Amino acid sequence: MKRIGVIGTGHTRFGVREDASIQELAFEAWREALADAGIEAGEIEAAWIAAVPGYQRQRSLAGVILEYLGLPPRPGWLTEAACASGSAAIHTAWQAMQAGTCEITAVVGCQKMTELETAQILALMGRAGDVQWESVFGVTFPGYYALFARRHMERYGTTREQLAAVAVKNHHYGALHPKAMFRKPVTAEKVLASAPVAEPLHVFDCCANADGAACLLLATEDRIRRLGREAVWLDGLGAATAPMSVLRREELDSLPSAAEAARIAYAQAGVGPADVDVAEVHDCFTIAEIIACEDLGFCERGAGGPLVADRRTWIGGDVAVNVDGGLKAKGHPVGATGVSMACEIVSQLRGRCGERQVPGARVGLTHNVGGIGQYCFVNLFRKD
Amino acid sequence: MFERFGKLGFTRHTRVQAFVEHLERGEITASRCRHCGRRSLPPRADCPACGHGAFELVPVDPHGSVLCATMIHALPAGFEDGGPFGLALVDLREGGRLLAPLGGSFGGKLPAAGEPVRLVVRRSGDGDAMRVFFTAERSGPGDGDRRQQEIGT
Repeated sequence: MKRIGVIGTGHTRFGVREDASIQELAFEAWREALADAGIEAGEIEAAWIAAVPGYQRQRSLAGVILEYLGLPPRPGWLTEAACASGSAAIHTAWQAMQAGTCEITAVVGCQKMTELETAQILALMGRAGDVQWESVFGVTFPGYYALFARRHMERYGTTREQLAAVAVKNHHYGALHPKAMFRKPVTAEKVLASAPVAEPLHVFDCCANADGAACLLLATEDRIRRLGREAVWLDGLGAATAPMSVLRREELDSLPSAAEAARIAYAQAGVGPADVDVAEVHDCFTIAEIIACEDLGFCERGAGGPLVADRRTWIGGDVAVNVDGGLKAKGHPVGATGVSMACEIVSQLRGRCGERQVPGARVGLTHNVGGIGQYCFVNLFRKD
Repeated sequence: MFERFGKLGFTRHTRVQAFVEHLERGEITASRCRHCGRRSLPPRADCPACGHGAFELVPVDPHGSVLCATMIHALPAGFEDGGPFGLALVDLREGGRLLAPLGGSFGGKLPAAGEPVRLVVRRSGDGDAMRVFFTAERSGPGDGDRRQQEIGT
């Protein structure tokens, strides 16, 4: 197997971006990544666009973005796996490079969500469950995670205060990230007192719909050596699925796709949970970060609440989790998220994260969930 | 015709659409594979165990217990009327699981994990607007195995 590395990253500010269209956001991230890698656009041999087309009015979304980037006639297309589209695109690019069809590729994740009303998004995302048996009763996306949270609380004694500790941590670090959507710390009291969305989840337990884009440039080891560039290596890729329907999952206190993807990625990279210095996990809701820490093996099953409440996932703890603010404070433009996670880990391993830098980070992990766990991708990055 | 199932339908055609006809008669049904006997609830036409496509719908005991429940406060499009509503995942006594709205017997309170419930078949509206569904209701020790359900509105 070829070793493949990241040679450049680009990232827009996340948030309400009324100043740009989706292709303009994509270009902003693309231009920054090319400058970071010190290469010309013409050197990119293929590109994958990660986005969920349902949020956009444009049909054949990848086509219009690829044109705006200037890729034609080189190949590119859309990769979609709900909120894990970004990691799915990274996986697809990695496979194409393994197959030998290209040596330098770009992955561009982008989404513009704020042109839709919240109720429309709730209806749209709720249909990420099984529309035949579940959406007919109005279950929403937060509703699914609320069911997971209730199960976790009733089974393990997880508390709303522990959920709030995730929001407090992620807003603390989001305030240190210049490209985050929310740059203000919050108190546990504020989280607990916010309006209910789907019990036990309240507004501050939920990430925000956002606009934004991120770009990752990948190259094979041979090509990186010929270019004379430094790289952060993508040494483990785990991908797995789980039943779409919560009616057909044995338990709801874990995402089985995440546990399986983690197992594959750790084995491929030859590392374990204790080796991970910094992790980006899919905290679409506070409970999701707690379950992610358990699925990734950062703690025992059921111990995720105390893990975060005891500040063991802050910088200086066992493993730094979502120290860019996570989906929670950085924002969650769904197609961009997986790519954004990879950008943050690469920046951490290059030591470029300023106030939120994890000292001496060598091994980083991304955990990107699609839907309510239908898809999960876990990637391991390493700096030699 | 399957779009008559639930509060708001998204699926028009399915090989298990007789589920709705049974529901209109007050009966909740599971699928049973005619080849290997595997039961599925929610029903599915193609057996997940042996892959055969021949199945029948068989009535199920509507009693079960709550796996977990939530109250939806931020309402999605199409469900804005009537304010917050409860939903429960119900594990049926004979196997299988269904999502069900919480009925009036819960008085707006969420049931705890393991609480016994029964699914009561409901019908609302007439003609093209007719909808058929079920709600999860508190279940007392006096409830027998009544496969034929009352139809309420």
